[in-house]
Amino acid sequence: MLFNTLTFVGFFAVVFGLYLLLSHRRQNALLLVSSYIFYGAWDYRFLLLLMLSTCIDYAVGLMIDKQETPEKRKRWLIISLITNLGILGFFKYFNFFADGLVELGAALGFTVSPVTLQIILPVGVSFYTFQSMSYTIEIYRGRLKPCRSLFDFAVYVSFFPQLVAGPIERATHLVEQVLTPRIVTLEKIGSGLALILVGFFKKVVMADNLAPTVAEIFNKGGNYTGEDVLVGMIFFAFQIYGDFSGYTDIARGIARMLGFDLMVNFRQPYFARDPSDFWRRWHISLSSWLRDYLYISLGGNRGTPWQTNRNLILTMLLGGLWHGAAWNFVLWGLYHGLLLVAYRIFSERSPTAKAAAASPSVVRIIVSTAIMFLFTLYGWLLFRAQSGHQIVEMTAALGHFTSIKPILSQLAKLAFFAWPVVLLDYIQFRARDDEPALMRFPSALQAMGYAGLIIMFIMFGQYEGASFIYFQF
Amino acid sequence: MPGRRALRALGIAVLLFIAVDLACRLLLPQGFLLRIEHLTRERMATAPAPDIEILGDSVARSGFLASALTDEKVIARSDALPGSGPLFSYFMLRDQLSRGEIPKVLIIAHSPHVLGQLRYPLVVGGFARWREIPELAMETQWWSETAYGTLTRLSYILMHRDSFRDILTNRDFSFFREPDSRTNLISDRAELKIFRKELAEGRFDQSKLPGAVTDFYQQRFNVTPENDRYFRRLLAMAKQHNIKVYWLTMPTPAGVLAARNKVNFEQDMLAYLRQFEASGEMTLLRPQFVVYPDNRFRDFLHLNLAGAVKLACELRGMRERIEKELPELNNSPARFSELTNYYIGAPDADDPRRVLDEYCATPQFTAAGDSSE
Repeated sequence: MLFNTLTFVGFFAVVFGLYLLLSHRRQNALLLVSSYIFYGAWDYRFLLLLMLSTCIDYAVGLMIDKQETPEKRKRWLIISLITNLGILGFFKYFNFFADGLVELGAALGFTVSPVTLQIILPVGVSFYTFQSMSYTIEIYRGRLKPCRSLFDFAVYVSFFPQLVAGPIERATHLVEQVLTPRIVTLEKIGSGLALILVGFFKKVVMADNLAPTVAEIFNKGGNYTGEDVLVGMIFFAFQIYGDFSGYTDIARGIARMLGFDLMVNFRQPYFARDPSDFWRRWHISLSSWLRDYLYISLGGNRGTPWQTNRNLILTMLLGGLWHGAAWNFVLWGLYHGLLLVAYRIFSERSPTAKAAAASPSVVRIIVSTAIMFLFTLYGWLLFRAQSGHQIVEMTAALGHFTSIKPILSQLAKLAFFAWPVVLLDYIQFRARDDEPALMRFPSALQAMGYAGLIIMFIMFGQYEGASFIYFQF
Repeated sequence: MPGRRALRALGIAVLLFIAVDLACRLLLPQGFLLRIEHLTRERMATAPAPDIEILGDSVARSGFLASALTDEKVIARSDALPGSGPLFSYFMLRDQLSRGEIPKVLIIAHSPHVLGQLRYPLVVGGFARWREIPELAMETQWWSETAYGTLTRLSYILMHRDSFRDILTNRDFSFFREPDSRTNLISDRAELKIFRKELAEGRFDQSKLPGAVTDFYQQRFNVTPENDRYFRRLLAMAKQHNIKVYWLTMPTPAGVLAARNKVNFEQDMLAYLRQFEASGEMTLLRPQFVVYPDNRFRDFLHLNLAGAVKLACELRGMRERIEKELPELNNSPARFSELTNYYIGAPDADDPRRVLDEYCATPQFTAAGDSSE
């Protein structure tokens, strides 16, 4: 069930109506049933997988809490990690590694029989396994007490607004909200609806209107011009941002209407000035998960510079692989890892750069933002490309521009669909907090802004119910 | 309280939107298809039934001159509706029959590709009457599409969003122009007047068709389950009212037929149509695609006026076959005199029948004429 369909609108209207009438315990029951309906609408068979992951982590959470010694606690944690990573590995990466093994064998002169399985990727598996692992890890680290009720824990794992595409919530943040009574107020309904409207605009107006141009360029199959590649990268940058952050806004808005507070997942990422700033702004729930549970576990920046750089690259490589079983995601992760390492080396060795970064001039801010945006754009090429050959061809084409006219006409199209999002992001960026940009204005101005978004949404929205890009992850 | 302020602002925004929508409804025209739909449905809901009634889509609307089948005893009328299929035809005919207005002959001339399309939001949003919407929803079980269609009925901006997109993104302002006369509800008399002028100006000498046939014509023949169901219902309803039903496949350019042959389109179409002939529900008047030269078309689908005249001349020959199969067609002089004033009016120099007499006698609009071009 996709957010951008009338089916979901009807589904949520019923759930929300009932939710307002029920007590806390019954609200949780309703959330669990509706989350399973929501997830089962894709493929009911995968509900079993979700339930399996839920039951194992629930039991493991209780067992970790009972153990007296760190070794025993660790043993139970490993069971949780093996289960979740096993599910993820089998459903997401089995064929990828099986194919890789065949290719490696062939390269070494061995004949390895290909063993690939017809595996369907369960939607959102990367999100809910990571969320579930956060629960056992936090209990292991002693920061969380386990849920006594399986039922409450199941609500945490399967909470439908963020089940299939995040934000990947931390157990320390969401479990508490499941366990305590929630109050739905007009305040929360208002801010939730405002978030939902902006999210829908990002997805249905901006992302889905840019998607056909992106698909046309990346499906061209060769003979790229520099103009094609540049337009393809820029459009994809806005498409994926609108698609993913739009989903997050809708998820946060829905959750807020239900009395929950989900974490912020994007903080105007294209205003980032350097690679580490970018990762503090893009898919924050994943980047902070990787930082807290992987990078720091690997040693973080506590070792030698070489070890720190290794940890960074390993973390980003796995972050890339998290997105999918394909080499271009690995390459994208590696690329961002290298950017982080290069930036780290550059800023540490150049005291003037370090000083300037602390109190930057306007020109410096603009230049560094533009440079980082260009680096990000090239990263999106790696992410969106369908093969290594395509990456090479498109990269080579970037050296051959013939005319600026087609770029300008495409940029006009981009501006037409994206200007409200850019403007809202800029306002929020300047404000330096997480309150949605439009909500800062007086009612009359807000009303005009919302009316404008509604009219654009109705006139230019794509209603075919295009899937969200991050559902495949 | 930013959330409460946002809620108030959202409420005002919705009111603002309703005001803008209302202003558009009051100040701007209706979209082309809706204009034609309302006119056609209204006419079928109020006018007396002709002897021969033609149902079809824009191809029949622009290419099938009803005057070709009209003479001193029989009156024919085209109720072809652009973009429509069997579902539209079924509801329109049902309206008419419920008033006791029963034609003797129905000629169905839908383009075969429309059997694979439904345009359901347009059916619900612009075509169906309010009371028909629950029936459609129950029938199709397409709840969200029905809800969307109903929303388009309520919001002018939503209904016309494609036109607004065209205006703003393609600078196409045709929305504000009158509908194309060749698919409008203008009379054969007016059509033929334009035809004479265009013929005199030499407009039909050169083909204006582009060189390549689009992918659209390389799709296989397909009938959606809903169109199939309504087509069968249409035939059953006609049978119940003793209406003789004929099928006519409109002419096609050679390039389109060649493209369709690659996917066995014609064979599949004939197999579908022949089942109705075998069950006696429908007679195939001319089921195969007949190729007309490119200069008889204004695009890959629609005949131009010269093509329509050429088809009209051929239809006059087919009239004899209909009469043979249905002798009672000519047997209601009282009805004819009642309809004459309604449909034909006083004869004059532009009487379509006279104009067609004139052109059907020239080799330019006969098969022999085409082969020499």
